[in-house]
Amino acid sequence: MRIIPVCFFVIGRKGVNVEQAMISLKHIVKTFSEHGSGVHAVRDVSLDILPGEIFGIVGFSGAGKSTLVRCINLLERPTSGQVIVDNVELTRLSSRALNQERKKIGMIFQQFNLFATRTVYQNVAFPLQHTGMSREAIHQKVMSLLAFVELSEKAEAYPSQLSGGQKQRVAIARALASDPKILLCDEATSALDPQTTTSILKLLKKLNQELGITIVIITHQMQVIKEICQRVALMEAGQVVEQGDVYDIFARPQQPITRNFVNSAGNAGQLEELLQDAHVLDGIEDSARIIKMKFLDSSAGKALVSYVSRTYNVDLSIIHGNVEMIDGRSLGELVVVASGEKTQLDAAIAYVRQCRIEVEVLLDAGSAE
Amino acid sequence: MQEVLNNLFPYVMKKPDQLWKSVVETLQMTAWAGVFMFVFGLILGVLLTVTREGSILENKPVYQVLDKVINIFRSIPFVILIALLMNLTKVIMGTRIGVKGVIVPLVFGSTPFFARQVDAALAGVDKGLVEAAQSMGIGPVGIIFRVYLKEGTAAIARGTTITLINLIGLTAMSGYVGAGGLGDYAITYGYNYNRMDIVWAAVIATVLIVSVVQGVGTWIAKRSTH
Ligand SMILES: Nc1ncnc2c1ncn2[C@@H]1O[C@H](COP(=O)(O)OP(=O)(O)OP(=O)(O)O)[C@@H](O)[C@H]1O
Ligand SMILES: [Mg+2]
Repeated sequence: MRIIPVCFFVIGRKGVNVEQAMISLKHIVKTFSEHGSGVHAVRDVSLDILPGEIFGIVGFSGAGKSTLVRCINLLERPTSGQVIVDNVELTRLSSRALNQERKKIGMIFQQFNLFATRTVYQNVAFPLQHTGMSREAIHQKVMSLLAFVELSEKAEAYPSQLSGGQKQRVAIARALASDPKILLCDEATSALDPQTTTSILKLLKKLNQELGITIVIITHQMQVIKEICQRVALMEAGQVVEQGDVYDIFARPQQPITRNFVNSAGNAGQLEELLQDAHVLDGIEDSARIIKMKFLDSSAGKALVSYVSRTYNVDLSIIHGNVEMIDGRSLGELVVVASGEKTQLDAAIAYVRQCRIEVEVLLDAGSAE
Repeated sequence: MQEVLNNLFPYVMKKPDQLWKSVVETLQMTAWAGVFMFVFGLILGVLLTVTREGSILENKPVYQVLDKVINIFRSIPFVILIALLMNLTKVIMGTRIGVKGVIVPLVFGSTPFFARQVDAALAGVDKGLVEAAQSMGIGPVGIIFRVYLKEGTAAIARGTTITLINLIGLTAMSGYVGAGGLGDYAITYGYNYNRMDIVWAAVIATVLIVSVVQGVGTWIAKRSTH
């Protein structure tokens, strides 16, 4: 038995115009020096994040995601490299000027970080106080923000009286108070259950669409990326190892770590595990192959299967099928056991490839010893 | 009632003014020293917190000096501190005896302890809150007042209570410089003449004062916790 490598066709990446980037990170390096031994948390990362997009950063624990994102608002000062936000080079600013720029960059956290001694109302009002804004203006702003996050009736509650999802909504309202252009989310949904996660993601999507806020999301849940991001970067050991449109990443993951994450988001992972298991072969004819097909931007799967089956006289039995919407585009996956004459099988596969459908032969029983 | 008191506290009731005067002296010393202790201790405690490594106004030299000075003053016994500070006391207060003469040593004796209490209280303020405020573009002054002090109020109230109770303990030694107070009352009129009822009166008065301080502290701490 042998696993036949996949063949991909390369498509041109969308060129990113640096001048129009909302956030531009250039050669960011961050080394924590602790008693002589340095921890290289981020090693030379360059990224451009466009205005109005939702950009995801994924990676395992310790990959350097938080450190990188905290470099965007300089909560962490990079050891070297430039941070340019909205055409201002933050790394050059005085601390006073930096604080002014930070008002354009909201941030929410896994642990919510609400002020326990303040009510929901006071938490949201916090960034507005001492800014010269009048009481009435603050009141109006806070109430409209609370309405936006659907928590108007909790204005006088204290954080300890709220659920995790409600706390995160308050944190979002507070982050929005200074009308930021950017929202940084560090594992903002990691402390929440799946349903609450979905509602928070919906809220993020809403503020992205209605307010045009650029969002950077750190997560280790690929599901989160799939649900709301347009582009994603994968980090490993302080470096970005792969980045691109979420759809492309899901359709054609290149790096092992990317495949790992992509598989974690669907049940394809189980399938691969299944194939590792020799017993799967038991019921399969000598000449059979297990074939994975990927349907990009189309759902013509079913018709194709019956057409191929008829025309080439091969038996196709479906063992796994899935269609999902990623960033508004459909991505289908079909795994079949194909059996028939060797030449016919080859011809069938060639035909499918001709239809610009990606074919990966996961297992070829015919070529096994 | 009067009769019961006369029987239980014969010597106290002979000169009730003495007891009353001692209570007033103890309260005066505690109140004056307490106010300065609170202000200076709060400032020093905040400085310790914000100049510590990794904090918002990180400053190694300042932190090191404060840390050492506080430790030194904390290790000097109060009675020796009174002697050590006599010249400074004279300069500041114009006298080194009486209630006035003991305020300076009391402040020096209690402030370092309170600074540590404040530092510990502020260490309990979640670092995430400081970061959240930083991410909103709030400067160091705003973070000190609106985050550290506001969020640390309950813990600071508890630290203040403990320090005030300690301070009341220190005032008991102020008899050395003729400042009077309940400690002096118990020793001079009770111990020296072997009159236990006077000692008991001093104990009861002290316990009452401490209870009130404790009660107020707990109330403030509770009120500022949600
Ligand atoms: N303040 C710090 N001092 C020293 N080392 C640090 C500091 N902050 C982070 N690190 C180290 O830098 C590396 C990257 O940490 P970072 O928090 O950025 O990872 P992450 O990808 O966000 O992980 P997680 O998913 O667990 O949040 C880790 O090895 C971590 O131990
Ligand atoms: Mg992290």
